[in-house]
Amino acid sequence: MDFAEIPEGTMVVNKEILFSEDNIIRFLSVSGGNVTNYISEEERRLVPPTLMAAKALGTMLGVTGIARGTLHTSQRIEYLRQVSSDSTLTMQATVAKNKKRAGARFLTIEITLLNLKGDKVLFASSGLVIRSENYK
Amino acid sequence: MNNEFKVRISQEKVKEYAVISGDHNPIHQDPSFAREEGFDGAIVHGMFVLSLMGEYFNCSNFFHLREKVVLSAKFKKPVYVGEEIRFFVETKGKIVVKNSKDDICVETSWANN
Repeated sequence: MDFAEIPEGTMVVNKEILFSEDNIIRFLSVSGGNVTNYISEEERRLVPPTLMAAKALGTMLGVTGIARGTLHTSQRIEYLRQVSSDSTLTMQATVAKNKKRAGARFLTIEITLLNLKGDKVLFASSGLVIRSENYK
Repeated sequence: MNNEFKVRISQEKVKEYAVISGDHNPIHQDPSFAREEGFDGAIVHGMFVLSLMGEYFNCSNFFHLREKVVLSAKFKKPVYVGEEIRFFVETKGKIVVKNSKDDICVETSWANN
């Protein structure tokens, strides 16, 4: 995706993401989290909020094919609702800001995750800098 | 839980995080590429740093109470793969990440409202 040609306000990703129990366990293993905080014998099966944000951002980067070497400069995340494991969420990503300055492109990408009922469960705003658009 | 913890993030963990998140930017996994980009080596995903912080400091506790949680972060300097970094609570709701040179790499704030 060539961000030089994408106006602000354009939705660039609209995709479903599954958060499986296996995902949760692997994520907690790598991030040092305690599995019992999220998955318990009392039928609690929750997706860690940081996993939701991490996978939403990674999916957006993958789908847009953003340039290699792009830097992540800021992040805001609003966790609005709990999500159960094995849930499929709809991820929508929109280019909120897109400016070229001093040879680099400065993007703000806003990501929303929605549950099956259409409720917003997470909102994230990521600041990214594409330092070179000469290669992919 | 202490108000401070130290961690060294290995290349293996970064690779695993890339698989889980889907963020395969070579700047995180290919030291040669990262050096071509002007860094001293491969750098850790910013979201991975936030994930470590979130789990260690239980920032998501409020989330379990079904309250809204807002987390904001500024990535000021790279966190290099393999270097020791230090997370500490600067003031209530503000956690910073410093490298071994005592530079602030990440500034975060979080709140429930």
